[in-house]
Amino acid sequence: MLEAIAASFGHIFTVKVILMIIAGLFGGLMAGALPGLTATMAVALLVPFTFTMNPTEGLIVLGAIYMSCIYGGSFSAILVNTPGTPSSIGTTFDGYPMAKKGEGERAVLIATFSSAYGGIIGVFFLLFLSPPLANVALKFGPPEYFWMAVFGITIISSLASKNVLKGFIGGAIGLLISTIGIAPIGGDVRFTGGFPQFQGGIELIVALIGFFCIPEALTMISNRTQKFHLTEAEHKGGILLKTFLEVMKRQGNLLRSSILGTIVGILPGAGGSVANLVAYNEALRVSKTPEKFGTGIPDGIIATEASNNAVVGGGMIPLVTLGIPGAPPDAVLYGVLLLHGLRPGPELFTTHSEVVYTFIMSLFVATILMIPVGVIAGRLLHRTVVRLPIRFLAPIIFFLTIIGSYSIRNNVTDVYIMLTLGVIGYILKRLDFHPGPITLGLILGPIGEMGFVQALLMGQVLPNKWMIFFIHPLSWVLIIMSLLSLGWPLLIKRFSKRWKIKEMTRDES
Amino acid sequence: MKADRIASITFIVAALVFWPQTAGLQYNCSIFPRLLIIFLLLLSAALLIQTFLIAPRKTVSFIPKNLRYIIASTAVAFAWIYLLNILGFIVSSVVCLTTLTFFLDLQRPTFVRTLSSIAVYTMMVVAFWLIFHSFLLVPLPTGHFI
Repeated sequence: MLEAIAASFGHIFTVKVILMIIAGLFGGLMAGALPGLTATMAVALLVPFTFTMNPTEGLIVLGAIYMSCIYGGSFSAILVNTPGTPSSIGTTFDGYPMAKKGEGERAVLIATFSSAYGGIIGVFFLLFLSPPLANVALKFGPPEYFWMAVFGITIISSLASKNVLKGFIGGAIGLLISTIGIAPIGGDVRFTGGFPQFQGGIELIVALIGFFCIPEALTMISNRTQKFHLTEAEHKGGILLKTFLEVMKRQGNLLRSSILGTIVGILPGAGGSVANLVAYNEALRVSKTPEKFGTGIPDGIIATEASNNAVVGGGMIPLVTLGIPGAPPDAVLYGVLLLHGLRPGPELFTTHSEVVYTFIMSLFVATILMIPVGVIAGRLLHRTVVRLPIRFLAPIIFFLTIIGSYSIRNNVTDVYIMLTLGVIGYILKRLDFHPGPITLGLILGPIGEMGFVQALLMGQVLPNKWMIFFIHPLSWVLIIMSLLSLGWPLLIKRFSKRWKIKEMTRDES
Repeated sequence: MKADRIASITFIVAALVFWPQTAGLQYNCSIFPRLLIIFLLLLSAALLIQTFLIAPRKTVSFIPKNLRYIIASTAVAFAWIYLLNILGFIVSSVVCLTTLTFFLDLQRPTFVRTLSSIAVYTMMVVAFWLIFHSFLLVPLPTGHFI
């Protein structure tokens, strides 16, 4: 293995390949920052450009695009409260409040360093621990996927701590929207109201753009008396080094979120959209100051950004070892490998070790290069957004939402759906129903339904089919995690009240 | 509180509208949505009860500031989507972007300001069109114009 790694450096460290990686990183960053252009789309759209390259170079460019696209989603999440990709939903919770306080540049830098850290940890696991971790993915059956979705939904109790009931209603709405269209098992058409356009269901990205971007643009319009959207803070010298040290001090959060991201990435179907919210929830749970989450603190950004970039490496573990794509962009990479005559699976490491190790090491190099590229692009974007008056910024957001939602399926109906959901999202936001739980429901709905129905079918062989949800030890781990996740915010609230009373009585005495 | 009450009743009604639509479906297709509808009904009922039990807090008004601007901008956005297949992507985008900027301008728009907005938006939209149409090969809507 070490010989193959050493040889891979010879392939990577050439001017041509380094320039290709940098170009891929810039392209990925821009695609990620645009709401609607996901990592899957960016990788898929740019596949034809790699046809003229040899397999190694093609994979290197696509790997760089994938890595930076996931990170690029944080830019729009921080600057305009709109996740560029579903992997950055959690970044809006603390990134945007930081930007509103005039700390947008700091937030972008925190996202840059955390993303690079998460990316490196994911690649590390991909390189050294692929075979044992791939076995974890095989242990996940339909009941475990269902419980994983339940665990994901319980995160709402942390996300919507101000009003848990409203959070869960939002989650239920999201779950219900996800069932519109053709049922995944059985194939019946549901809740389309007779419109054939709805048979394909509501596209997640379309809903995401609607629920996040449109309410933000309408809020800006509501505040039209203000000239600028964000307050510009005075540029502080040494912010780069200071932020780097600030991020590196939080090793616990970085490592925990990166490992969580890798594990979620390994599970086929989950991906960065689930990982970033799970990591955010865990960061909040172990924090000594959970009440500060959502107000604009670095820990929130660190958790989401480290985890979503760790998914890149994690998702490739089942791809290269078992031939099962971990996340949607990995499915595109699967196709690229096949196009170049490489069959993903256990023999890939033995038959084409040079190509595989060069690809993995190029991901490592791309993650390192992402720091300077991200710092330059992030600062540039931040300055642009901060200095753009609302009369230009709000229309441009509308423009980006239209182009983003149209380009997914080249369908104007999707744009109408996006705008309608956006208006509904704005009304719900005014009523204190935040978009986070709704989109969480949308993400977890298909995973939950597939797991639930498949598990029920598996349960037919048991005396009571519902027992299928409780007979596997892994299911119990997830059930306990769900209960803990659900009860934790309530416990914290109860204990913090008690601690406060104790402190007050001590002070008085 | 009043807004919460209306919201919870709306969700209950929505759940009751969804429920009959699951009637003709196979068991495997209806079981999951039915559970979700029950879940939504229970939560909405709990929210409704909560509005009667908890004393009303001083909250921000549900009606936003500058409502007429919000309604006008939303109408322009819907018109924009409608015009995409009539005027084409570039023309409809430039027209609607300029209209929205005109709406949101705090100063009285002058001829020069409007012209400069049109010029900036034309360059931006054409740049996007070139990237999507010629580089990424994503077809954008076309109408009588581009």
